[in-house]
Amino acid sequence: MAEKLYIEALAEAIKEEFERDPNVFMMGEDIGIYGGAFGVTKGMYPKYKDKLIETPISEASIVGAGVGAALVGMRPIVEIMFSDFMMDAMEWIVNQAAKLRYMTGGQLKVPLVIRSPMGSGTGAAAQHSQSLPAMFAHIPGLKVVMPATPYDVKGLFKAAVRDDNPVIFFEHKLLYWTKGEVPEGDYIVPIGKADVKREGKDITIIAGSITVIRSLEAAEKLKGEGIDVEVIDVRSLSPLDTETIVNSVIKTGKVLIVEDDNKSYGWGAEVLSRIVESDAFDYLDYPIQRLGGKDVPIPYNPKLERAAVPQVEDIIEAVKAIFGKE
Amino acid sequence: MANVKLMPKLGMTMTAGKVVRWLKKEGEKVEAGEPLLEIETDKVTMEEEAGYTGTLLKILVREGEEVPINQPIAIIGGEGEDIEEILKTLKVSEGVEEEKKEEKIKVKIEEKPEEVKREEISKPRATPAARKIAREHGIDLSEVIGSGAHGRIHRKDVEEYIRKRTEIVPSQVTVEQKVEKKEEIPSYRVIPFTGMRKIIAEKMQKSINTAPHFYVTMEVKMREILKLRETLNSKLKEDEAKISLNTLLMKAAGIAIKDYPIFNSYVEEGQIILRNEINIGLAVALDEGLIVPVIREVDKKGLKEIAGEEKELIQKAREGKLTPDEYTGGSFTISNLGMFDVVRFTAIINPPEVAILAVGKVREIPVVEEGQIEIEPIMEMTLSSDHRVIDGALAAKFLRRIKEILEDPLQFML
Amino acid sequence: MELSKEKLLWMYKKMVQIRQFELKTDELYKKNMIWGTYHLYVGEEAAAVGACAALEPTDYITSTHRGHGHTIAKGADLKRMMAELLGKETGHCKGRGGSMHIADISTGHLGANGIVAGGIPIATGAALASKLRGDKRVTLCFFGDGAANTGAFNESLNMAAIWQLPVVYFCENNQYAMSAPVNKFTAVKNIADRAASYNMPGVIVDGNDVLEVYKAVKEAVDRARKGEGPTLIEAKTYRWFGHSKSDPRVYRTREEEEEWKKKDPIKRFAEKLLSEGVATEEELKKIDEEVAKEIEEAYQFAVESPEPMVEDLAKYVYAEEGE
Repeated sequence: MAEKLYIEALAEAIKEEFERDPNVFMMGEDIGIYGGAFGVTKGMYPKYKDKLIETPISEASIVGAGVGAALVGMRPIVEIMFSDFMMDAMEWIVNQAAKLRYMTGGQLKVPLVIRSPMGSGTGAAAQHSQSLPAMFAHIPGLKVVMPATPYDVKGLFKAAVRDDNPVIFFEHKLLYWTKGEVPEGDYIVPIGKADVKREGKDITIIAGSITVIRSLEAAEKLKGEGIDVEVIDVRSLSPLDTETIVNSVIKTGKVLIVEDDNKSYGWGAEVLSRIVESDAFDYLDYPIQRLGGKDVPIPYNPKLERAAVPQVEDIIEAVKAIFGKE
Repeated sequence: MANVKLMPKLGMTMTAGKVVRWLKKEGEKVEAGEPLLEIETDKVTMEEEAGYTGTLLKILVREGEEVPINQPIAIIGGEGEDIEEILKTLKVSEGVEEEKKEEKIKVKIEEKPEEVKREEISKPRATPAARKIAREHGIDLSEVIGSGAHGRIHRKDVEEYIRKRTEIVPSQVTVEQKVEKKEEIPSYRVIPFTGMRKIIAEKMQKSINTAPHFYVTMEVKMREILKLRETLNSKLKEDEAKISLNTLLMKAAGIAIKDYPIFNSYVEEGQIILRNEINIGLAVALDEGLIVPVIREVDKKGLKEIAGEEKELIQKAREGKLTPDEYTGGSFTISNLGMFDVVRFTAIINPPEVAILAVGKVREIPVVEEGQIEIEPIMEMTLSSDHRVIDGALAAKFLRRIKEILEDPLQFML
Repeated sequence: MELSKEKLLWMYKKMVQIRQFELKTDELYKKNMIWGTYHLYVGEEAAAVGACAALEPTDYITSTHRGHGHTIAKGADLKRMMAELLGKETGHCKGRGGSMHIADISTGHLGANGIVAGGIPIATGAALASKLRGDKRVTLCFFGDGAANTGAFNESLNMAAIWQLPVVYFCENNQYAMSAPVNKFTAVKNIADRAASYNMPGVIVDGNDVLEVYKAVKEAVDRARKGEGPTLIEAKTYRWFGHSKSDPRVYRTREEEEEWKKKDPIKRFAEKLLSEGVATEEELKKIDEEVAKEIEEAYQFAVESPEPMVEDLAKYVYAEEGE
């Protein structure tokens, strides 16, 4: 298997889906010759001119038009340059895409993918750095995924394009240039299936997107402390794979949830609730701990920016505290 | 046929409407599209059209009155039409509405929530996992000591508690037993393997299965030590605990272990672990089984102190009041059946310890010494050892050391 | 413009259907048989019928909160519509949508929309799909004067113009966005004037004249189908009733309402059909009666239909695989 960058694996998935289904196309700002703000479609333009619809800066209507095209049988992919800009399109995501099927008694379907970079760590400050997947996972009718590895981004992207529901696809910016093994050709990572990224017996860390990578790094370091960490990558927030999480918690009895979204009312709270509502309750041997972003807009200053979301050392510290080690 | 005009629903939240003003009088002609009255809802006041063409025969709701939606408010029909029948049916349905209203009120009263009293209970702080295990093993969490923050009991604390309880039988065990009445009297009686009996059974089974036992026996001349005991006891005050033979045995064992520390070890996960503290257990028979209270650091304590503790622990053991600290963590156990006239016996090692000393009664027997027959008080003692850790010669040396101390009690002074 | 008698009588019948459907709706709402709210289309019938008469059955429409008229004009089933208003399982949306959310994909109706301007980007997207596929379909987007002041209107019309999409933006200017008079909240005199900003044709028509509406829309649809891009049409009309039921209409005078009622689109069209000898009074009366019967049947069907089952509450939230 070849090692590829996350961004390469994603681009590969987009091109393969273009080739596979004539109804698949992509809309977004600067996705043509420019290659998109983060370069996801870089180099695609000459070959896929007809598939890459460059749009004006009109987020509401880009998503709205995506919904309309999906209703009549296309499978649009919408790129929102920064997921912060999705706020402009909330009407067409929340009130339209998510609800049209239900409101019409199943007559309509919206096979739409909205993919968008999220997260801090690039110095782009408050309006270009948020991680907001939880906001969308709250809405019935939407599916929300946030792959952490090159392997998952390719497989989940294909699953998203082929899904008959609107899928919000979050790509953490710092993941674009991470490397991992990616098989050639077609494969699917199913939406709604979590992945045990590292097996362990002492504690379960539940993470998603960038925090998976940070948790894995923390887990390696904690090995030296004699703590054997299991890392679960939720991969999908909606639907959430409760089963995998619950099974792991039953095994370890201790839980740390690490999210890049800010903590209050975040997805970690939902994961926590599902654990205590489940059979895993009886196996909990320490209060479930959550690490999330601070409840602040993402600051510009790099020191502050770093402090605003959980880093590897924060994860290590949190785990050690659970085991009574300072 | 006359038509009944009902109070219309004029908005999503409207449940009742008030007649503000009638725009037509009884007997006046109305057109369907003509405004008939003004209605005030929860939100607005608006004109309502007649809905029927004809004569306004009867106004049923006076201005200023409020009625629920779908209640009749007027009758519109042909001029001079008889509406008696309609009025009768309306009365009936009105009555029904009234009843319904009453029901609603009743329900409301019932729904009034009770005041919630907050109970002040001091519950042990424990994790769900700890609670689950405790529940399954019938353990009272208030007896478990929590190792976590603010005394929080974790799974491992309960597991440790269970392990120790299994090791040394707790004095209080809930015996769960289903009593089934049987018509016939059977030719046997079933004693369920529960509680202390079960724990002893499992423990002894495990000991004999995992630790290969071997036994060495020696006779001890007891004249000197009995003399010493008498002397010492004569110097004690009335309220002080008397020094027993067991006190002396424990002290002697403590001294011997200091010389042969391997007897203060246990086997765990393929390793022999040496303890630092020398804690000697003393088996105490109870009606329902036995328990082994432990006297800690006997090597550092005087005979008087040991005797005091011994008395207290035996008392507690018989009353079932021993705390886990008082019956766990022993290095070596002494079992004395002398009071039952037993001359000698072999004991099964109390796991995870590696040896146990079985002591018989002191009796006077003729002993040949240097060609002379002497009557001597003799005690037989048998050491059971775990051959995984201890070999024959070592066991013999250790036992001989105890014998030496007992026969030459001045060694207590060293 | 030569229209067959059949087509003209179809238009008449559709308008009568809308009128009678709405009056029945009003009656049922007042009897508390309809839950929630509804927005009556009475007075605007010519707009929906004229516009839909210019479309092919395979063309798409998007509709608004005041959507019963569009839905009937595009060919939805009266029974299933009435059942939807009564929240029944046999409704177009199986009782999940209600008045504001009726869609009928079988007639190309992509849904009424409870959000003002909700349908504008959706119509734009459907038209984009047609352009990408080259399927020669046209999308007609119904919206009101209020929607013309939203950001999505600007975004979408601009996008449709730069891409020359096969879409007709059909603004029903019924003079009021809820209580807001159009001239108070719209800087330009005519909404159609805004077409200039998007470099597309802007057309103003008398929305109470079904043939005028038909003519304007037909022209726009033909252009769109030929790939000549979008058109903004403004049909000036009037809603006879309040915005929704709980509207005392304090923002306008009864005199103004009477003036507009004189321009009753159905009466005007009937007079035209009679004066031009297209139909006789008997023929029109027969249609009126036919429609009355249809409405009664629709009502009966709706009343007798079962309600959805609570066990199915979560059905249709997500499309399952293979659906």
